[in-house]
Amino acid sequence: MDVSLPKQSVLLIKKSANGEGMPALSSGESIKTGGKISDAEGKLLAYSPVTGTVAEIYNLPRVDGDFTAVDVNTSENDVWDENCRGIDNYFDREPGALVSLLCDSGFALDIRKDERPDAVILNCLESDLLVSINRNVLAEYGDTIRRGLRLLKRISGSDIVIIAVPGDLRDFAEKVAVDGSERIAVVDLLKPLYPFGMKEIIPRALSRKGIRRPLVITPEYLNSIIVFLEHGSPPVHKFITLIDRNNVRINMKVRIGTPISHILREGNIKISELDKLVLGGTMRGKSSFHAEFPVTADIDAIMVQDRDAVVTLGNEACVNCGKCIGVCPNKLQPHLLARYSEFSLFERCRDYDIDYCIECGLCAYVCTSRRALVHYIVFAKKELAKMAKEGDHAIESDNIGEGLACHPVK
Amino acid sequence: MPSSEIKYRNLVISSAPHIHEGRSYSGAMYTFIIALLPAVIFAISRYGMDAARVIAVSIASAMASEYIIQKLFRKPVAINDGNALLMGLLMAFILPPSVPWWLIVVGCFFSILVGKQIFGGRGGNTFHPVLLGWVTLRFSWADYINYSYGAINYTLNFSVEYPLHVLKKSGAAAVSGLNYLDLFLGNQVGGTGASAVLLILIGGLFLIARGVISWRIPFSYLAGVAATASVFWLADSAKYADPLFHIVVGNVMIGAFFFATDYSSSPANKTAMLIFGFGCGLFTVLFRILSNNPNGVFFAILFMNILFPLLDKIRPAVPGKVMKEA
Repeated sequence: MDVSLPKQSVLLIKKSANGEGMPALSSGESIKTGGKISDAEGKLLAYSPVTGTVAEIYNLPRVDGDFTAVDVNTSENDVWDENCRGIDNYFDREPGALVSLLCDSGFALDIRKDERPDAVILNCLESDLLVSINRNVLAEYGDTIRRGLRLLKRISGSDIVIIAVPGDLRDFAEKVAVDGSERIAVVDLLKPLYPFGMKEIIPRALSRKGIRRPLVITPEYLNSIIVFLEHGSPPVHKFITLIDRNNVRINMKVRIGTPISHILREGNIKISELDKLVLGGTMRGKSSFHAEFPVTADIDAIMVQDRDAVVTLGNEACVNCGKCIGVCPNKLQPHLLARYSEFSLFERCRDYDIDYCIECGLCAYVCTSRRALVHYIVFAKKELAKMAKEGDHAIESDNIGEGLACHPVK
Repeated sequence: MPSSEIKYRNLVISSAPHIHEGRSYSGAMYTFIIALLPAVIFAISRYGMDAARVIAVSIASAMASEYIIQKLFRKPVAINDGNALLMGLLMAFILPPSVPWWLIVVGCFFSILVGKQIFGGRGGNTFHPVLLGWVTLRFSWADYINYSYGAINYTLNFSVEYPLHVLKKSGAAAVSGLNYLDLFLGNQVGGTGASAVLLILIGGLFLIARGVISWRIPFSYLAGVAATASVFWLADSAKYADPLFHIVVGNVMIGAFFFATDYSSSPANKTAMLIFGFGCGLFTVLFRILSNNPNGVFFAILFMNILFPLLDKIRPAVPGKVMKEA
């Protein structure tokens, strides 16, 4: 289902820690689709997903940080920005130059010269429970993804390209894996189990073992890289799964920047007091306190949970049953991490490898005492980061990928 | 629209995950209790109202102690979580049916006060609360909780002497005539409910099937008993009883499935669980054979309870970490 273009669209720009991230725009200024939005110093912040006039610029805090929001009154007919141009013969460019070009344009590609990836994994498993976008992504962007795999094979210098895919998407994956008569990738069928779809876990779920430094990429992200190289701006659409309170799912193609309230209206979902609105799936999604947030490229699903279905995770005492240890994919000790965090013993958390927690949520899902384990662990991580910053007064390195609304670091 | 104009609808905010598998602590406690119910029926059918009396007094005093202590300590009263009920039931199970009511009350009060609440209540106890209460009774009124004395007034169709007493007094030859299947089916003197070995085993398997406890502690416990007893038996089969005898008598089954598996006083890591269970089994047999006290199970579990925080330091390597350091 395609969601119509809303009358007002919101462009979300993540603020960096030192308060930067203010676009050099003023109300009434017109912007065009694919146009670059920069700050006063000319640093690239985002690409506009719509054409229209800027209505207002303001702060919009989200659960995961502070953002600058730009309201845009959209116009019906899209006009593409004239500076928006693809790169000729990008395929033949020198790999190192291409990687740094992509990184400068806001993509997070973890390819370093000294430590090349030993495999490219196209991760077609869903990122979370109840999310089901990859069928649409593979069906619609198959050709682009095939070109993307060729490109990645070239710039990563790795011969091993694996498409990790659940059984029901096998046909789509086979189409992507074969280019004419040449096979560019092997298809590995995986059980669609959570959390196999997380980039930290998927190398371990593959049938090919011994991959130590893979480059894991989702099909949608790969598509946006190729679209950027060919057209000069990343895609303006995003697939999302809309999950209603009965867990009925609709897949939607949404213009980035569309407010969630608009999507809920089109999906015929009403939201009322004490319901929960989740940006993402059930295990890792972030709950939101109102419905005016726009869709950004890092949102795979929008879920409305009924007030009666909301589970309360609290701070009842841990009883040491050991279930969290049993389910942790990284074999951590979530019960200890949460207890140390609860009593502000953050340094002890580090002794117990808190940095290896991938926040998959399984520990809190099985917790006998219904403790908010992930919450405690995330809290401890933030406190540790704060302590590290205060400790050596290090200047936080600017992760350029973070600044771009269209390109979250995946 | 700016945040001042946004229509807030009092939505619920929470951290991920947004679903839960649906189990709870009290659910686990009540599953424990359900697993013990067959043995309750068995006990009442064998010892009649005496068993019912012990079980009722024990549960009532455990729950009353929990309530009073939580009130005194100004903690939220949580007697409906099932833990006090389970503690009372387990206390009744390991006492003989003839035990006087005041002894049960003292035992349960000690269990809840010293065993559980002093350590901080739910999840804080280092030792199994009931076993601490039992130790108090054992050292204060040993004769009252002696299984052999407790069975004197009953007409039973089997020996009214506790098999481990027989073993201690008369040696392995005296118990070699016993029918192990009979003992296994519950025809032995022992705790009010704990002597129903088969039903306790079924209850324990039910707990494992429901995922309330892990198989690791009970089965490594039984393995520990079998292995240690085998060593002695193979060394001198005339002097020491065989491993099967050690498994079917004297609270091993209830110890393995219901006492050693107590959440807060047993390890949470898988390897540590195996060592913990095996250690319990090892010390059970060592205490039985090498001390002058015929019982070994409860002291062995209490001893391993002291060691469990240390054992829990044995944890698996983090996969990603190995990868980076390699």
